[in-house]
Amino acid sequence: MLLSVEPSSPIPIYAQIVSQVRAAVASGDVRAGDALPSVRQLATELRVNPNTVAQAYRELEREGITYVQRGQGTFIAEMDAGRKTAEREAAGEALIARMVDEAFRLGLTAAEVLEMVERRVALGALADGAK
Amino acid sequence: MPHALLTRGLARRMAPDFAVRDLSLTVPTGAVYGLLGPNGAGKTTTLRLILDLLRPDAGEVEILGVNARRYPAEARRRIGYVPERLGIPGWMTVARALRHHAVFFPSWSRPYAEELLLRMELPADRRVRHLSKGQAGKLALLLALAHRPSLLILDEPTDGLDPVARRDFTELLLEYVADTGATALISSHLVHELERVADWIGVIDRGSLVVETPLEAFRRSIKRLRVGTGTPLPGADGLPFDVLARVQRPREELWSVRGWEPAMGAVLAERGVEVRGVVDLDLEDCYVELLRGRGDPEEGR
Amino acid sequence: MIREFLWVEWERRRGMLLLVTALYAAVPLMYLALLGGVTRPGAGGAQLVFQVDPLQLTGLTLVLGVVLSAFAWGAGSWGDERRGGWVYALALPIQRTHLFALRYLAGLAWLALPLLALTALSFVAAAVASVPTGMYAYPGSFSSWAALVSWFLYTLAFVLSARFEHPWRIVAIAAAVLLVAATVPGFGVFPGLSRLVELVAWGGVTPLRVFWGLELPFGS
Repeated sequence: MLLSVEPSSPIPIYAQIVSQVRAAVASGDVRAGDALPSVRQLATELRVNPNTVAQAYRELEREGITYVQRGQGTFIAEMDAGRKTAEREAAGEALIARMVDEAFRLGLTAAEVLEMVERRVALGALADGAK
Repeated sequence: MPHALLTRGLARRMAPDFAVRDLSLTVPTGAVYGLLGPNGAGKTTTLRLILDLLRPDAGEVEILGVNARRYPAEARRRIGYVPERLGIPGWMTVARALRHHAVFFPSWSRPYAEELLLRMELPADRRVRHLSKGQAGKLALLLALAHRPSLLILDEPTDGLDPVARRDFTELLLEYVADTGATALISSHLVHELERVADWIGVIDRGSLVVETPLEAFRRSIKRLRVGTGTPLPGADGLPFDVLARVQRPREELWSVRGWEPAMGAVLAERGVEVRGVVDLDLEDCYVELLRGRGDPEEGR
Repeated sequence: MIREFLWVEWERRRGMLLLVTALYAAVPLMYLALLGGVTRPGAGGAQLVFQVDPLQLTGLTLVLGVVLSAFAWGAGSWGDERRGGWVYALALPIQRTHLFALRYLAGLAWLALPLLALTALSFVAAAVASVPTGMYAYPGSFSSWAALVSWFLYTLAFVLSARFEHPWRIVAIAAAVLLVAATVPGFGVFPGLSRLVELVAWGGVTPLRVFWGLELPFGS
């Protein structure tokens, strides 16, 4: 799992970390029992405030995505299939939300955005079919 | 102790047309506090007043629970200060500078200083005046960290450093903060620099504190609205938020507003104002809009 | 802590210190050499009167060297650590008064080195020289005078250098003061005024002799 943050994004940095970890879990990129980097490590790596990373980790723990083992660190928790699907949907939702925000910022109308999404989805399906 | 640093009513007249006025900073313990402001806004002066390098004309300073106006040396012992430019006499070698500093700080940790020296790849026997800018910046950080302070005060620490040195510097700083939970007060006019690391923001302009708030709250409160111009628009008075700037565009206006909350859309709709969109801003946008809303700096002179 | 301050001063400007010491040491030695001229064979009693004045004038110049170097030593106290209008050492965790006192004492302590050289050589010179009839040597008084003047000027320059940012400003002020002090008594344009200037600015070559019984090592 490779995390990266975009500080100038309107989404707070801690929320970016949370959603990326969730996405990694949903996509199976990380599995139950995998260790997350320590707060210090991740803060240094991303060059963000350790408090921000700690906040993200607290959030992840609260949501039951990770658990903390004292003195060992933070690990990905076990998750059932239904929860995984829900996570995947939530991650997708967040992605779309971000995209739509950006599109509106560009001055596109709702209809234009929808049309573009549809075109893009069709293109993606085509590419998948070709594989 | 909820606050690592408090100033109350800090003031100092520097020149006939420049003064720091009634400055009250509140830096929560454990925060990375970004002190933002244009060049010449009084950031450096403020930090020097806090450290008692300049004597304030009025006001109080409390550092880590110590009355710093009365016991400045005591307060400085627990502060790591990275000045704008490295002040160490140029004739000293790096190793000599370390020994010199160690004399003044009882909590100086030699093993830690040596570890940092190695990690920063600083040439111990080179004279300070012959160091590159990046090396000088790192040495300044080393001298600020080696006595394990609880509060770091950094004055434009990475200004003029190349990207590699800047990254190294930030990493070392964040590591220290993560390890010790120390508080950091960082001044900068480079907003992007602070966007990653700060969780509190203070904006200073023309010697006064304009805003002091958690970074996220700052970004939440300043928005750009797209307002339709189909109906006559009300004046800025009586709106539930501050309008910092208005820009005319064909068929709509862009309002930069401060104090925005989502519920205000309904209030505006009642008055016949059509809000077509609320655009989030990044920190730099927020900062620029805020200062623009305060008018041209030259006007007040 | 005072040890660190002494050590720093030594490392920072031992070159200058040695130069100052050489200058101080030169004063009694030059007097010794000049006296050789006064007492050369054939110099009669009547001529001595005329030769004492150039002697004193040269002495004045030498003393000017002492004065200047004491001043320069004090003016260098704050060195190269000013960066954009503040002094690096102020950021150290030490009381400001404490810092100033330690800096001041460290510089003063090293000033003892040239003074010791001057004192020792004055006594040596007084012992070695064959002082002509009618002249007296006062090595002790001269050394005390040098110490007093050095201390005074070192202090003055120390305070000035702490107050003014640019060394050239200090040097300019010093040069102006010393120029006036050196010129007016030298040419004797205004005898009354020159006495006053001597007294105030120099610690007084002549008046001190009158009032406090202090004396150049080899005066008339």
